Formats: sequence, structure tokens, C-alpha cells
Amino acid sequence: MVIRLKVKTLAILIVLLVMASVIAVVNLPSNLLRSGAYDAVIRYFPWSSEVPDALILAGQNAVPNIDESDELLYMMSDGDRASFSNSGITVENQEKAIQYYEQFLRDYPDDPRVNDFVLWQLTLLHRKKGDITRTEELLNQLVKLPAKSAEAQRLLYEVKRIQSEPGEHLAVKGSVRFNGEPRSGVVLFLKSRSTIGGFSSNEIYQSDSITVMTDKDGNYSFYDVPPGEYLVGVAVPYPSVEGYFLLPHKEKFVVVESSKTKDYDVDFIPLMELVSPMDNEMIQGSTIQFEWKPVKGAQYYQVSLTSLERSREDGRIVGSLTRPLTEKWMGTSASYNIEALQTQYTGSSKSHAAGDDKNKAALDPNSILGLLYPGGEFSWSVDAYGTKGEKIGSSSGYYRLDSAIPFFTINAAGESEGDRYARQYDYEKAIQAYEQEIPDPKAVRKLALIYDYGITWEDHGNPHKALPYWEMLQNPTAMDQLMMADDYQKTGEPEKAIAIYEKLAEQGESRAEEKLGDDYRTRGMRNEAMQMYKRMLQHAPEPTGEKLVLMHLLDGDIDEARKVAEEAPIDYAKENLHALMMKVEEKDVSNTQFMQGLEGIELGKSSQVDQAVAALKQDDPNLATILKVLRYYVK
Amino acid sequence: MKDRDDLHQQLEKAVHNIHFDEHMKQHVLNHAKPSFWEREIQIPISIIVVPALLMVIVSVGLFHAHTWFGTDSKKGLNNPNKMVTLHSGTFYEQELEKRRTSW
Repeated sequence: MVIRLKVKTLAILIVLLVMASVIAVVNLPSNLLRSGAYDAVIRYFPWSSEVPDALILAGQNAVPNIDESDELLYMMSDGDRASFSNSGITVENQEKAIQYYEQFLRDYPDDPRVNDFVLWQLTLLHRKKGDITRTEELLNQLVKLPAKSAEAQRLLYEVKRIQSEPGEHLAVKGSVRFNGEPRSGVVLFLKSRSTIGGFSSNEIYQSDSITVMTDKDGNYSFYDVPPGEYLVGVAVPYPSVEGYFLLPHKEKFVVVESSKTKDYDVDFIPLMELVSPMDNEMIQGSTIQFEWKPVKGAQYYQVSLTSLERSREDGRIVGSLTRPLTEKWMGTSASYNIEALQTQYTGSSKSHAAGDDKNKAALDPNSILGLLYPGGEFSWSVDAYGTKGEKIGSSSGYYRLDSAIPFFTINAAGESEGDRYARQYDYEKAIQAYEQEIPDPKAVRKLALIYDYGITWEDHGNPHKALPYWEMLQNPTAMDQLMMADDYQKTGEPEKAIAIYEKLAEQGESRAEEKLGDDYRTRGMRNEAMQMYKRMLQHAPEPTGEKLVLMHLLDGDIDEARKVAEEAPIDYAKENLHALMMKVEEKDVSNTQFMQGLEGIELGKSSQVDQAVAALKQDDPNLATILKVLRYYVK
Repeated sequence: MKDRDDLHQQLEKAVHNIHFDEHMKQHVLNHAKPSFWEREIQIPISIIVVPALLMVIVSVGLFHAHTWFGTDSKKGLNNPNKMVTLHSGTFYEQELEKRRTSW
């Protein structure tokens, strides 16, 4: 078969074909760009006008726009992890983004996006990477741009602060080391001791905080810092801390004085090596043994257990409950009876896994099943302590990809039917099954807990239903008795509750002492309440310390309030109280709104407290914060 | 005029028995000298089909070129390096998920 056609027809066809090909090839980069093949545009069509867009999009694709606080892990020198915003950016992607933006800067220096976007992103990426030289070069360009000048000045200050300016006082200096090796490009900041509450990474960029960066020898310097007590914070990208743990500094605070220079080093040390159980080993039998490698100089070790909660939709970890175990172990192993740990419960926790559905079962099964239970999944850590009780090692740090992880499961073989249903959040069936298991004390306790805690977000429990089960227990633990006493109070039998609290307080049970103190306070027996709180303060300062401070403040006795704040024996409460007192002393305590707020907390009148907080938010946000902190602890 | 009509009739008579078939037509055309653009050519269909198919493939390919080159879009956002922070440590989520499948 043949096709006949005139030469001119063939010529027209060929011309059309060539034109179509040219159009297709010319438009190919644009098509590729629209389809998201940015790298192909950059690599194979360098002549194309789409390349600048491709470079920007490829950069953003590798690393979505970051700001100063993003992608760094913030932690305090006392070992507290502060905050971590992580969108999962890899080192490779970070390098890619740097390459794309650097190419943009080199090839299109006159494009308006250089000033609007590329310079700033590139600076932050180099800063995150710890490349001080390039960061400084870019900041010197940014400083000239009005829109970014202020932020650039601050960051320029950060990278250049290793050198002093004439007349400046070197307040704090030190170095950041990883296993003894100095590390450059680490960001440091100071957090005043008087700052109440938690810490957000944005804080240091939104306030007047000073940030500095370590130089090539890992040294840092803070100049002209106002006198006071500060926590030293560090901000590092995640990959650089993998396999490490931030050793708490022996002096929690650095005390800045106007005439002296303080040395304060920050040390990251390798994580403690764990032996077993690891990598989701399934524990068989009735005991569990934890093993780890020794730490030089350790006098004792303590284990912490974390139970995991997974999403019912996709199985991801959405929550956890942790309980540090109190036993001190001299050797490199610890052994626990699983059944005994089942009788210890951690308190009520309503689950994130329930989502927004208020009617869905939200009670975290970990709340009722105890610290360890068959069929459950857990994680663990161990801390090593030195001669003075100071922490000298820990496994609770930052794990590498592909390293063994301290997770384990307990064989579900010994699991009761009720527990199985509870683990599946099917509390209706769990209750039926537990009823069948009566008089087994484990089932009785779980029934009492389910009724006390309530199953959904809206269900706050029913002490009337819980009480008969608590009363059914033949040998209740101290925790069981406390729960029972609470229910007696809620159901209008305070004398029975007080009798239990008094019995337990005599045995040194701090929560009973607190309850007794609260009871005295409610009944207007202020002296007895204060005495009880003081007794408890010695071994369990939180939240009694705050309650005592509140009572002294209401009495107008600031000296006594300060004394409580200073003498609180445990660090966390002490710091909270200390910060609280510093704030109070800076302010006029006779402020009417503030005093009304305090009174509202004391009398449990939440609307009065709300009113005071709202009014103070405008006039004096610090006092508003104090009220909120007090209400949290004293409620 | 009359001579001309006679000549015409004689010519009609002379070619009356001659049939101008396709072969003769082709023969005449071959000896004629048309313009280059008007010249007719014959192309075997097999020669047309191959480039036509190639053209279709290339055209379709150009519209789906991104699949050859690979799409970068969302690669960065879907990367698996999310972290999970628990009291016992900070872990890569993919590590936790990887091991979970073996339970």
C-alpha cells in the first residue's frame, strides 16, 4: 500500500512537524516545572527562563521556609529538653537547598527574590549548618536591606560575639564540647531565672534575649549581660546530637555579676549503652530484667518506664506515660516483678487517640493497667548518678537512625480478657469481663479506676460507682486508699476520708498530708493547714510549696513566702517558687486586682480569678502569669 | 473555418478506437513537466507508519516528561525523618514504625 501526496503537502506537513517539535521542546521546561520536576529543569535546560523559578521551588521543596527558631533542638544546661520543632528535614535536603539558593544568588543576582527571600533563607540554612563564615558574609549583605536589617543585625551580633567591642564587659564565657571535642556553630542563649513557666524557642527571638554562636574552637562569649541568674540554653540541629546526652551542669545557674567573668562549659556526652531489653524484645515470664553497661564513677542507677499509646487509626505513637522507678541499683542490672508493677498506676490520662470525638472512649488504657502489663508496649531508660547524687550519665538522649532502641513488649499470654478489651478501648466489654473476674483484686481495682476516671472526654467519673469496688479490696495499697478517700470526699463522707488521710499521713504518705492540709485550709484552720504543708514540703514540695506561698502572700507575709521559696528542697519546685517570688517582689503586691485574684484562688472562685487575670493581662501581664501559675498548683 | 472543422472530424475519427487508459495517463504525466511543488509522490505506508508512531510516542512523552525525569515535588515534605520524643529518649519515627511491623 502506498500513500500519494503532493510534494507541497508533504512539505507543509514537515514544517508543521518541525514547528510542533520546537514548541514542544521550548515548552518542555515549563511543563516540567509545572509537574514538579525542578531538578530536571535546572540540570537539562540551563538556558531556560524557568530555571530561576525551578531553583526557588526546588529549594523550598527540599527545605520548606524556615525561620530562626525552626529546625533547631533547644535545650537547657540543666538537662531539660526545651522544645523541638522538627519537620523532618534531612542533612541531605538541607545541603540541596543550600546548593539551589547559592546557584540562584550566583546566576541571578539582580532578581528581586534575592533580597526578598533567597538571602534570608540561605543565611538561616548556613546558620543551622553551623557555617559561621558564610553566615556572616550573607548577614553583611542582609544588614543593608531595610526589611531584614533588624533581624540580620541580631544574628550578626550572634556570630560576631566572640570578639569584644571596646568597653564591653565579658559576662559569661565557655565552650561547647561533644565528648570533649569542641564544636563550632552552636547557638547559645540565656534564660533569666525569673522567667516563670516553660520555654518556647520563639521566646528568644521575639524578646530581647541575646543569642551567640560558638567559634571554630567551640568557644562562646556573652557580653554586657544584666546581673542576675541565668540558665544557659543551647540550640543545635538534630543530627549533630545523635548518640549524645546533654550532661546537666553542676551549677544549674550562671550568676552574672557586673565585675566578674563566669566560666560555664556545656558538655554533651555519649549515651549510656543499654544491653536489654532492646528492639521490641518480648518479655516472657513474671519478671523483667533491665541491663546496661557501667558508667565510670557511677554510685547508683535508676530506671524509668514509659508506656506507649498508639493512635487507633494509624498506629502511630500519640502519647506516653512515664514513671521514674524509685529503687537505686548499685550494679548494672535491675529486676522487677511485672505483677507488682501492675498494681502501681500513674493517674488519669485521657487519650489524644480519641481525636475530637467527645463521645469516643478516650481513657488511656495505661491509666488503669498499671506500669507494666501483658500485651503492652513500653520504652525504658536508665540514669547514672555520682557520689553527690548528681547525674553523670543517661540513656535518655538522642538516638541515631538504625541504632538499637530501648523498647520492649510484654507477652500477652497472661492477659486477662478485661485487659485485652481495655487495651482496645472497648471499655463496655472490659467492664463486663472484669465483673466476671471478681474477686480478683486486679479486676476490682480496674473497675474502680474506670468509674473514677470516666471513659470519654465528657465523662469525669462517678465516685458513687467506684466506691463499692475500692471497699471490696482486701489489701488495698496506699494509692488505692487515697483514691477511696477522694471518693468519700466527693460523695459527702468527709469524716471517712479524713480518717484515711490521717492514717496514711502518719505513715509518711505525702499525698495524704497534702489532702489533710487542703482540708484544714477549706475549713479555715489556716495554722493547721500551714503546719501540714510545711511537713509535706520537706519530702514532696510540689504543689504544697505554691500553696504555702499563696497563704503567706494572702497574709501579707512576703518574708515568710520568700523563705518558703528559698528553702524548698527539690529543684523544680524551688525554681518555680523562686521565680514566683522574684516576680512578686518586682511588683506591688498590694495591687487590688492581684489580691482579689489570690483570694479567688484561695476560695476556689474561678470567675473571680478569671476576672483578675483578664484585668491584669492589660495592666501587668507578669502578675497575670503569677495568678495563672498559682491557680494551676493550688486548685 | 471549414478546413478546421474537417481537421477536427478527421482527428476524432483517428482516435476513435484509442482508449486513454490509466497506463497511458501515467505515461503522459511522466513525460509532462509539472512544477516541483505539484509533483505527486508515492510513499509506501510502512515508511509513513514508523515515523508517525515515533511522533505520537514523542509527543505523548513530552507531555509526560516529568515521569522520566522524576518529580521533586513533595519529596522534601514526605521524607521520613520525623522525630518522636519520649522520656526515654528522642527517636526517629521510622525506627519505631519499622520495628512495630515485626510485632
